[in-house]
Amino acid sequence: MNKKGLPSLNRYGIILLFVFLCMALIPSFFSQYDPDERFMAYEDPSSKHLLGTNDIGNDIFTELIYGTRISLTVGFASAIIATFIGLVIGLTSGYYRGNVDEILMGFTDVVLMIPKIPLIIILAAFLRPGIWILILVLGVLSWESIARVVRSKTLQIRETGFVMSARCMGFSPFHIMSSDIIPNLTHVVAPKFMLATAAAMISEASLSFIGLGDPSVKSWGVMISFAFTKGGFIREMWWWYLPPGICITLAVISIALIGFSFEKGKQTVKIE
Amino acid sequence: MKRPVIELDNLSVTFHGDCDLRAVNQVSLSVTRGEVLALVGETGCGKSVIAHAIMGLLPKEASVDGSIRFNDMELLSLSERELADIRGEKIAIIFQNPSLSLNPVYTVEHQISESLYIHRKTRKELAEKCTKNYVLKFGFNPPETYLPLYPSQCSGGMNQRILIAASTILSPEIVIADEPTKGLDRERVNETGEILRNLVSEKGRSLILITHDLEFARRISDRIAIMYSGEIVETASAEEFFAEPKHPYSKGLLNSLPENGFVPIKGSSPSLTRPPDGCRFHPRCMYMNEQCAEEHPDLKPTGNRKVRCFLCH
Repeated sequence: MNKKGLPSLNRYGIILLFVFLCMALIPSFFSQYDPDERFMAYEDPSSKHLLGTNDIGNDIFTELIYGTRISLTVGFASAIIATFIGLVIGLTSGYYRGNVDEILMGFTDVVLMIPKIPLIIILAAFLRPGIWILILVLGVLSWESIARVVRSKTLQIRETGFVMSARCMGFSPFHIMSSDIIPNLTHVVAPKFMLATAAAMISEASLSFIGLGDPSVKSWGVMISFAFTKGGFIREMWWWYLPPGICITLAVISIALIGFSFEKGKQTVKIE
Repeated sequence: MKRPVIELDNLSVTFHGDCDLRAVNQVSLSVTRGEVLALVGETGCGKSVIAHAIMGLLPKEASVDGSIRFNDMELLSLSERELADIRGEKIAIIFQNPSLSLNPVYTVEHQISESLYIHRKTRKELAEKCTKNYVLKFGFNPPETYLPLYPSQCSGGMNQRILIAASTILSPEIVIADEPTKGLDRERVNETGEILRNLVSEKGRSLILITHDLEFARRISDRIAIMYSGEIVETASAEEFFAEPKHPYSKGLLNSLPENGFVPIKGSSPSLTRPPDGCRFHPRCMYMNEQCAEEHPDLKPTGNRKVRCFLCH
């Protein structure tokens, strides 16, 4: 633990994520070219092109920088969707219990059973490949574990004195859930959110790699996919396919580190 | 005679489970305006269940019979939504264990003023002013120092006062205090007693005080009701009661006080799933005779009070 009370691992995670966020927000600061600008194809790394150029002459370093935004967007957007659905379902079933709980948790079990990647492959084959569809599908299919954790925590919190006294002050269930229970859930939801982000980024990369991503939007996964199909591997251009892989790994590690430190750093609510 | 603000009539609460448990049996009580009623009894005798029944907080497994009339409303027939309007606004409850009854993630100010925003839709500046003036009465002077604190930064006594302030800021007609002195030291108990007493005398509110602290009950209550094993065994004015308790259980309670010689009541309280036949207190009673083991005594008036004992009728 450092002075601020955060586990030290957390710091590296935050620094890494900060770098990636900067890359996503102000890509032009990092690279001098436009991602659509064309040069000689298949060039080796040089001082002009740090990671060389690809099959159609785009600067690979520029592509890598601009890809950050796409990969992070997919990760965070689908995690937001998943967290929202999970929170609503978990809260409702934990707070109301009884039949509502039975039905919602039964539904959660059903969704939990669906194999995610194969389903996404099928959906991607039928739907027009697009980044927003991917985000939606990933989000809609990864809320179950969040719902479960939220439910069990809600069951615990709803029995505490302050929820009881909030009921006695005549507050509505909605008010109690949103202002008494949710703030006390952050330390279980935050790590779950981070892990969902990391998982979504990995899913996006793997789907893009097998060619089910959106080819018009160049994420890191799409870059590896192109490197694979357009001769990067045969020509042993490791500077083409390795950097996006490393970026995915580092981004996922940074997000997971932050998530883990949330988990470790917080105390649970005292129940009597 | 003054009209009662709240009146319980033959209230029974049964918890259904593997075996049915009758936690409250045919309790009739009434509280008039400006009166402090102390509900005294040992742990597990159903005091808190009565409070929860009034607030409509009992779980689904509990079935409630009888009636609870508040002014002219029958509380038991109200829906959850209608109850929500009454809770906090008309009837407030102060729970035991104040530190757990406050939400750890909000400041004191937020928790005290919250009901103003919800029930009265008060504007921010007005609510802030209201809260500041209100907490002054609870000894938070100056309010600016205390209001931004979180419950974890306050002591148990402060949290108790905060909780009382939070539940009474809308000036409800009835305040139910469920063991408000539990876990507080003598000094804080006196302080809490004074605050509760002031609450009542100020606006003509009524207070139902649930406690097992006889000394505390004596100091602040007008009338006292002794409960044993889910039943009321004696009701009397506080003065008369402490001068001369009639029911053997009440006598036992008073004798177990340190100043009266610390004499414990023999045996332990009966299980509520299978209460003894006849008078529920007879296995532990010093004056027991044959009738007590067979017949169940009624709560009958004797003089100014009501006692549930054959010996006093």
